[in-house]
Amino acid sequence: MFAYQKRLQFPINIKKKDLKMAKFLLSQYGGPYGELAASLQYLNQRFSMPDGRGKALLTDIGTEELGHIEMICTMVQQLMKGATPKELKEAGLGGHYAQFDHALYPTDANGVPFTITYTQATGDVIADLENNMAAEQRARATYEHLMDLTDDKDVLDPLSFLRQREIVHYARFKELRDIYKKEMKR
Amino acid sequence: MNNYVNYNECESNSYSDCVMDFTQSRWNPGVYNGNFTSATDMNEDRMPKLYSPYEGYVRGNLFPSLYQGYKNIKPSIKETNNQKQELLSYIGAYAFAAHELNLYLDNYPTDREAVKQYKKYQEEASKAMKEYEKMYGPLTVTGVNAQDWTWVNEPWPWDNN
Repeated sequence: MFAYQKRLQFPINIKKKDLKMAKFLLSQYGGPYGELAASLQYLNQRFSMPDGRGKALLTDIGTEELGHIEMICTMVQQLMKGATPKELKEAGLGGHYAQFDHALYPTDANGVPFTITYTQATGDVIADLENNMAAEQRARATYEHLMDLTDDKDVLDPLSFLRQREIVHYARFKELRDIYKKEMKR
Repeated sequence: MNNYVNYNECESNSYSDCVMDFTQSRWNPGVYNGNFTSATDMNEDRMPKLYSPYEGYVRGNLFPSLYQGYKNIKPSIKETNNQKQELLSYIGAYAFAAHELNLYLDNYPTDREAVKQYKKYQEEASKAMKEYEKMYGPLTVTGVNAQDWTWVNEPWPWDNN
């Protein structure tokens, strides 16, 4: 089961409204390389891990990703705070306003709704871990694109943090892949 | 001044000065009773160095050997004069350090030095959480320690502070 802690993994307090950045950041909520896809992928794959190390690592990283979803949503909400329908329309979020008002909804940066087909599982531990390594690299690259799109330090700090988490997760998945490969002589 | 203002235990700007030595750390296959299928990855020379909790927290990475910056962007956490935010950052830093060792230990569960270090950071984080809950209200639903159901109190984590 899961329990909630009423705090963010990393502090976020964005004062400057930036609707275009909010739109771009949606990619990491409901986009193909986003946090929602990563979290669901790992929390699903853990059921077919061969031993406790894999079950633990996928549980723990998958759970951390839930906290990252919360961070992305926090950033989007704070960046959109107080925006008028006209401002949203001008920033390319008119469609978002029409359907969701100021609510959050998991889409990518272009408004395409999240689909579970962004996630992968094969039941083959090496294939799954290597897929997760690639997922972390794709997310790292996306964070770099997002960092290229803003100068606001309030946005850059949490993005730097999230980008770095992808690097650490990649390293852990790779270590576990190497350990299993050696033990399984594959 | 509260006890947590000096959470930045390493004042230096140099990464290497803020790194803690993990010299006792060894992969020791003899102590684990799990169901590993074979001799596993021994990694005898594994001696991960760690940033201090705060230095690691700022970077999003407790392990200097894994850290990769991006362009010239210097990671930071905004300084605050607000005691509540200071304490939250302190909790954040120690919980983060513990979480980093948690992920590491999932792969290397017999690294007893890392287990010790995990416990140290985790205990510090829980102590600070209890302190926070006394002053500002619950961080977990089990932390409600008033007559009213203070769990519902604002602000929530996504609200601007």
